Amino acid sequence: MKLKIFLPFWQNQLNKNYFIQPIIIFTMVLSTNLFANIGILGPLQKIVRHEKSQLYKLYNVAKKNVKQYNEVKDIKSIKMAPLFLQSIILNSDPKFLEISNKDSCRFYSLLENSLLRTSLGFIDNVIISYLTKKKSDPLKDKLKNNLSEEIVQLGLLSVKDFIKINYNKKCYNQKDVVELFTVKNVKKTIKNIKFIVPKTEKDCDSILSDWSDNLYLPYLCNLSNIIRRGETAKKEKAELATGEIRKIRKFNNQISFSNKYKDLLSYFQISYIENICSNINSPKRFCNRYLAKDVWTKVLNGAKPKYLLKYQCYNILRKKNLSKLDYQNCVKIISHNDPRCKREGANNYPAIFPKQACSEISDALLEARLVTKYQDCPGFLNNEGIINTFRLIMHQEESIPSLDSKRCMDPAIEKFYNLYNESFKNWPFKICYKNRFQQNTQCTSYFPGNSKHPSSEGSVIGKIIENFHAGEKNTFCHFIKEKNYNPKRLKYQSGCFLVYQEKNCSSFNCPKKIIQDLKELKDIKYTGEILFDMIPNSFKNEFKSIAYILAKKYKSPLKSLKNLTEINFFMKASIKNIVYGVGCVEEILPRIYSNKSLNGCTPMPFIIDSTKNVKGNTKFTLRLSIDDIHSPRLVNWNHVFNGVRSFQEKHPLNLWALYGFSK
Amino acid sequence: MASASRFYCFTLTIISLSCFGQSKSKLPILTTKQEIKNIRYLSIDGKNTYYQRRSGSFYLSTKFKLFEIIKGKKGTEYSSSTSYYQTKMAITVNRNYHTLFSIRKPLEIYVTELGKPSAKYIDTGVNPNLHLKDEWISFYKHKEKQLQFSNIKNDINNFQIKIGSQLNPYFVPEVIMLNDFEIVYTDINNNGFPGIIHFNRTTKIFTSLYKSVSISKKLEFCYNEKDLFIIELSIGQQAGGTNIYYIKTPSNYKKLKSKDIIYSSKLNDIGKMVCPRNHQNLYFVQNLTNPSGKEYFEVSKIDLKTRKVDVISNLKNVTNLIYHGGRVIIPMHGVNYVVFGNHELPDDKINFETVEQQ
Repeated sequence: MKLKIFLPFWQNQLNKNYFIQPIIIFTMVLSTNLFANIGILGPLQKIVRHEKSQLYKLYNVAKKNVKQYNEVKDIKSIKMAPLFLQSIILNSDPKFLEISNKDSCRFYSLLENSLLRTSLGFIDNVIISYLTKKKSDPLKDKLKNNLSEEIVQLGLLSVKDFIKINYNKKCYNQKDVVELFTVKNVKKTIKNIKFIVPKTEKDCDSILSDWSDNLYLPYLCNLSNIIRRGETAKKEKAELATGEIRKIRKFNNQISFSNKYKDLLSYFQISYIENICSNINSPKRFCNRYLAKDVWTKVLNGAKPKYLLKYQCYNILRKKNLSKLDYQNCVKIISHNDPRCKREGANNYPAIFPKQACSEISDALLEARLVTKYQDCPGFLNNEGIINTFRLIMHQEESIPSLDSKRCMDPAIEKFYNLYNESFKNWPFKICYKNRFQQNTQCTSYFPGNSKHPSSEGSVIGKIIENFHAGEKNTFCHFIKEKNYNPKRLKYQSGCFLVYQEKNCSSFNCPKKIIQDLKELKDIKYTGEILFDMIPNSFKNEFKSIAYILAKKYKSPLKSLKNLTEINFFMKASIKNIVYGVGCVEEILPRIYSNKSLNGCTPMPFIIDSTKNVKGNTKFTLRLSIDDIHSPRLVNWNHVFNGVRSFQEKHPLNLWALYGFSK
Repeated sequence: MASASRFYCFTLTIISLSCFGQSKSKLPILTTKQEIKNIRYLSIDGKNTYYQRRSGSFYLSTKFKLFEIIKGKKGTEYSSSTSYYQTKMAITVNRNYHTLFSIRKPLEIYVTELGKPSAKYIDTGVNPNLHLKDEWISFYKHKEKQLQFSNIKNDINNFQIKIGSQLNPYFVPEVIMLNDFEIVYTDINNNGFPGIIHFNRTTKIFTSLYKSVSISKKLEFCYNEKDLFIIELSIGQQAGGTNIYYIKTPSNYKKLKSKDIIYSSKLNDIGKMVCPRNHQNLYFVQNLTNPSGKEYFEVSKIDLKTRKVDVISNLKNVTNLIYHGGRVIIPMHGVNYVVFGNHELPDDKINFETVEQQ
C-alpha cells in the first residue's frame, strides 16, 4: 500500500511541489548513507524498511535528550531532524503533503492536527536537531584562538511545544486559527464557515481550490478524525470483554471527546468535512456525491436528511443498527433499482402493495419536504384520516415517536388523541365500569393502545383495577395475543392482561378478555366509535374539523389552494410548506382503484410535498394515507385535480379540499 | 379561429387547470332532470331513477311515483352497480362517508330489483358484483380476507373463498362466476405476484391459471357472461406495458388457459374495461402519451372483429370509465360524457290530447 502511494507521490511532488522539493533534495543529500548502503535503484521496499530502522535508531538517540519548551524556545537553529522529516514525507498521506506545499506554516498546521505521520506511526513528539557548542577543551581552544566548535545535537520535543516555537517565530496568523478551534469557539467558527455544495462540475475545481487554501482545513480534518475515532471506539468497546478496564477507559475518553464535537456539528457538516478531507486532491471524487442524481447518494453525503434512507435500509437489509458500511451497501443495492424496495417491510409496516420502485421513490424524494423520522403502518390502522393527521403533526413537530408501545400504530393514535383532546373534551372512546362505592356506572376516556400514556387502554384499565378490583398500585394491563397467553406459566399467574384474538382485531375494534390475577373481569366494557370531520363538513361545525384544529394549533391559516399556480406559489413561499387534501382514490390512482357507480368516489386523504416537471407533465410527490410513509409516488397533477374535483362534487359544502400547511 | 380558442384554453390550462372541467368534447353529455350528482342509477329508458337526498335516504323515482328504498341519516352515501344483464342493482350504504375515511370499512350491501320499490339487505363488505343473470352477488370482506358469495334467491347456497393475499392489506380481488360451481378470481401470492385462480366448488380444488411476471402488475376482468377479457396493467411509473387477453365463451376453466392477446401496448394504460353484452366493441382508458413524454389518457374502443383500436374521446385526461344503465360513460369533473348509449331524456310528457280523447 505504501509503495503504491510512494511512486506516484514522488512523481507528483517532484513535478509540482515547490515547498517539498527542496526538502526532499535536502533530505536525500543528508541521508546519503542510506542510499549508499542499499543503492539508489534498490528495491523501494528495502528503502522503506531501512528508513524505518534508521528512524527508530534516531528516535532512541533523541529520547535521551527530551526537551521542554522553555529549554529550547530561544535556540534559533532548532529544526526538525532531516531523517524525521524524510520519514514524514515518505509516510504521510500525499493529499495532505500537497497542501503543505503552500507554505511551511501549513505543514506545521497539519502536524498540529495529527494529519502527518512517520514510519513509526502518529506523531506525538518531534525529533529535533539544533546547533550547540561542543564542550570546550581550554587547551585546544587556546590553540585555535578561542574559536569554539558547534555541533548538531538531537533531541525530542513534544509536537505541542514544537508547534508553539514555530508559530511564535513565523506563523502568527496560525495562532489565531488555533483559538478559533478550541471547544469553546468551534461551534461559532463552524457556523461562519460556508460549506458550498457544487451544483455543476465546473464548481468542483474552484470549491476544492478554495478549500485547499483555507487555513481552517487541517483543523476541520482533525475534527473529522476525532469524530471517526469516536465511532470506531464505540464499536471496539462493544466487542471488549468487561474486564478490560484500561481499554474501556481509553475508549470512553475517545467517545466522550468525539461526542463533544459531534454534538456541535450537523450530519451534513460532518459528512461534508469528511468528504473534503478525503478528496481534497480529487475534485471528481469530491463532487460525485453532490452531483449524483439519486437521493440515496445525496443522503450519504449529507445533502439530504438521513431518515430518507434509514428506513429503506432497515427494511432491505433487515437490520436495525446500521453502520456506515451498511448504508453504503444499502445504497449500492437500491441505486440499481432493486425490486426489494417494492416488497420489503410490507409485513411489519403494512401499506398499499407493491410499494414504488427504488428509482421512483428516489425521484419523488429529491425535492420532498415532509419530515418522516419514523415508520408508521397504515395497514394496521383502519383509519386514513388519523394516519394523515399523524403525518401532518409529525411534520410540524419533527419528533421521533416514543417507542414504549410494541404496536406500530399506537404513536399515531396517541398523537391524534392528544390533538383531539386539546380542542374538545368529548373523545368518543370510553371504558365503562361499575363504581362499587357510588353504586353507579362510570366511564373514562381511553385510546386504544399499549403505551404508558395515562389515557392508553392498558393504563386506564389498570387504574380501574387498582381502584375497584383490589389491584396493586400503578397496575398496568399488558396486551397479549390469545395464542401466546398461557395461564400455567408463572409470569401470567399475577397481574393484568388484555387477551385478544388477532383475527378479530382492528385498530379501533379489538374485543379483549380482561384478566386480573387469572380471573376474568366482565364488568368493564368498551364503548365508542371514532368519527370526526377531517375537513369542514358544515359551516356551523367548521371549527370542529381536524383541518381547522391543525391550522389553529400550528398557526397555519386554513388556506384552500384552488389551482396549480396557487400550489406552486405556496410551495415556493417556504421550503417547509406542504399541501394536504382529500380526493377520490379512483381518480388519483386510476390504475389501482376502479369505480363502478355513477358518482362513485372513495375519499382518500393525502399529502403533497413537492412538485416537479417531468417531460412536460407537472407531477407531485404524493403520499396517500395508505401509502408507506417512505415510499412516496409521483402523481400527475391532472389525476390529483380529477380526484379533488370529484370529491368536491360529493362534499356537502362543495368544498375544494386542498390546503396549504405552513410551518 | 377554433384552433386559436383551443390554444387559449391550453394556455389557460397551464396556468389554471380549472378549464379542464370545461373541455369541449365531441361526446354528448348525459342529461338528467335533477342534479346529476345525486343520481345513482338512471335506466336507459329514463323510467327508473335512483337517487339520494341530502337528508340521507335513498329513493326510487318511477312512473311519477317516489319510493324511499333505504333510510339513512344526513351524510350517508350510496353507490350502485349493475351487471350487463340490468335486472338487479347492488347498493352499498356508507353511513359515515364524511366522518370516517377508511377504504376497508365494511359497507352495508343491499340488492334491489330494478324498478321495484324495495331492497334486500345482504351483508356487509365492499365491492359487490352481480353474477349469473343477477342471481348471485359476490363481495369482499377485508377483515376476514374472504370473498363472499350469496345466492340472492336462496341463502342456503352461500359460500366463501379465503383470499391468500397477506402483503397487501388493501387488495380487493376481481371475481367472476362461470357457473354455479366454477369461480375465477384474482389473488396475490406470498411473494406479492398477482395471479388468476380457478375454484371448483364441487371438487374444492383451486387451480392456478395465470401468474404475472412482476409484482407491479394488476389483473382486471371484464365478463359479459359470454366473453371474458383480462387486462394486465402495470401499476408503477416505470413502463411495464399493457396486455388485453380475450377468452371466448369460457364455459370451463380449461378454455381459460387458451387466451388470445387482442391488444398490447408498451405504455401503462389505465384500463377500466367495459364490455357490454352483444356488443362488438370493448372500451378502455388508453395511455396516449406522446413521444415527447406529455401524458394523455383517452377512452378507446377495440373492434373485436377487426381488433382495430380507435380513440373515441378528446378529453385529454380521462381517469374513469363506467357502464351504467346500458350506457358507457366517462365521469369527469361532475359531467358525464356518454361514449355509448342514449344520452337524452326520453319524452315522458303526458299527452293531454290523447287523454282528452280517451
